[in-house]
Amino acid sequence: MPRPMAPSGFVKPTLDTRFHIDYEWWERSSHDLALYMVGHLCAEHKEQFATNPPEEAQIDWIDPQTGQVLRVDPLRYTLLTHCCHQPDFISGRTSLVDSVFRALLAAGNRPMTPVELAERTGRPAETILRTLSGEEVYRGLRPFIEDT
Amino acid sequence: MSPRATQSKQYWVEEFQVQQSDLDYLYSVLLEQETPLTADEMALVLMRHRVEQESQAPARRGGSDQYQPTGTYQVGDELSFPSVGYARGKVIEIRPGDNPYYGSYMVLRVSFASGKVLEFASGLAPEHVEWTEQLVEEEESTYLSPEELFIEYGGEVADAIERELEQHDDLVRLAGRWFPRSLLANINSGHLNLAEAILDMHGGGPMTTREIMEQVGMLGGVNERLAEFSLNYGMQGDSRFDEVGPAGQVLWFLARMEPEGVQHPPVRLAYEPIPSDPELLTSDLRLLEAEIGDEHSNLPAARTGQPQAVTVTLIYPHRRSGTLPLSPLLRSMFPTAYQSPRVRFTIVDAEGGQEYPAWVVRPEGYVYGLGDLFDRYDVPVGSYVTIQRTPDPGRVLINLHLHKPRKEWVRSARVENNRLRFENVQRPVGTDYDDLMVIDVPDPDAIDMLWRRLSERGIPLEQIMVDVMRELSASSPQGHVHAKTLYSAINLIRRSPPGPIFARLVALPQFGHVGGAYWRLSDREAVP
Repeated sequence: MPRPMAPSGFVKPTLDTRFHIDYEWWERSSHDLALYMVGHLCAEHKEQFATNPPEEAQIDWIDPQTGQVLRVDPLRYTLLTHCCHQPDFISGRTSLVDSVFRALLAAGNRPMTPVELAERTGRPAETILRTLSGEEVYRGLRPFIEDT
Repeated sequence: MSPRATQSKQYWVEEFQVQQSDLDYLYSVLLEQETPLTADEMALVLMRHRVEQESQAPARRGGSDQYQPTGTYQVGDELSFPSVGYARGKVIEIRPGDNPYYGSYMVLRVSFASGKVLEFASGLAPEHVEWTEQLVEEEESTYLSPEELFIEYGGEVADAIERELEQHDDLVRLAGRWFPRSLLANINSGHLNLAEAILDMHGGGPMTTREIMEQVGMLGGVNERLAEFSLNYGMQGDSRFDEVGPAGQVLWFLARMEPEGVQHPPVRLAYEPIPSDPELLTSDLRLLEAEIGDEHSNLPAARTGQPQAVTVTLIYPHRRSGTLPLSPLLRSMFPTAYQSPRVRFTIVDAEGGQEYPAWVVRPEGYVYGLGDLFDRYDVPVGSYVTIQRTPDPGRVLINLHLHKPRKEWVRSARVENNRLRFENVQRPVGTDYDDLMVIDVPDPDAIDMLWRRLSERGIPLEQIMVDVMRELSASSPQGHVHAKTLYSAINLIRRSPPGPIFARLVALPQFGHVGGAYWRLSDREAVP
């Protein structure tokens, strides 16, 4: 079967377009990913990391749904294995961009459509689409270009 | 979890291509069923097959080549990965796991065709895995069935199949059905001679293939549909037979017993194309040309679907030939056969209920068989004729807008000293007509003689226009002539669609525009 066509960067995203956290965008940008990640920790771990700064070494994290292994730092590992499972990880008080970021973080950055993200964040899919389709890229949230 | 590819529009519409394996499968279905299939039927068969193939693929069944986090693998193993759209990847390296939380496990480095390298766990304890076959089963119930997919995308798939099959000489198509040539029942000259004799005994036809088969008892022991298809195919390739059925219906007629006016266009319909520049026509004249609907006008195909009724205004060549022009609008509503240039159908007189056999002759663009009806009601040139559809595609109603005949003043054409003359006369008229196009023709033979003489002498259209316009001007106080009147009058003695006439009205100095669709001769030309 022919491979699915990769969405073009020039094609306007739709409700069927999948988005992900583009970590390369973070590397290129002047923003501090680690600092931003700390903001998503639960209160318990936020305090723990404040008193004991995390090690630099990376560790395996295994996506329980796909078996894919990601090499992550301890901070991200904690987010994936503990904080994102807390009931208030995504709540009405979380901003839309942060909610989407957290939803993707919790899913191991598995690309999702605005409709799927709406189910996880409780925000309207159209609003998510409008926010992520603008000229400005928020927190590295970008359309996913399939290349596998 | 990635959805199945066959569930997507992208799969069926944007990327669908008929593969050799698809053709092999369709061929086997045709062989097994011994029944010719339409492209739509094949599309459904193929869509069922592809959906079933995908659902039973090793990746779906959890077969040996689908990656499982709990499985163990070697360098060099090739696996499919559900999380990346079931893409196949090759294990290029294996390292020990680096997280005591998961216990003892290994990490596979997997290379994909795109060049991307991802890592996947192997030998993982089941408690660390949420991905199970159960999840796949849950999704199963949400999938569209092949029949639902066919409703959504079957048209595109059928088109793709049809395009592909047209490239294959070993498949034949008849009346929209396909079958392998090599599997057809053998139709020999004896069968065809018998078919000819049967049709001859029945006045040439029309007869269905089954009726012919029943009469001669041929092809016993062969699947009935295959026998019918094979005989159709044999007859299609023999010029003695003409397939004349309307859409979806195969009817046979003996070509030599078709009416003369169907085998050869009536002489008064003959048209030698006249060069003209359509760009010269004003928008009003273009509208007029479309309204007239001459079969030789280069009008765009009707886009209104199949209309319920179409009204045309008779011009002399059609009145004389007992025909109607197959204008784009009329073409769209008449019975259409799949590939037949001639279609036999029945016209029903909306007034009297009588039925008349009639023919659509597509290549030359006319409907034949209305002569008796026109004569019966003494229909004048310029009359309105309305054709209405019926639920039966092989029958149409014809409405001549009849009323009790009453004496009316109409333009009458006669030949005097080899010239066409017009005068207003009172005559009984029993139909509704277009005031601008109505012409009484008391002596059609004289008109036809003049037509023949002008044709033989090759008199140019411009000259005929000036002569006819001069005669028409005489019966109008201001000498103004409507473009439609000129078109109707010229067609008494020269077959021409409106385009060349209208273009000359605009372009030539002999004619002057006086407003609307009215024209007059310039002062110099007006002098007889």
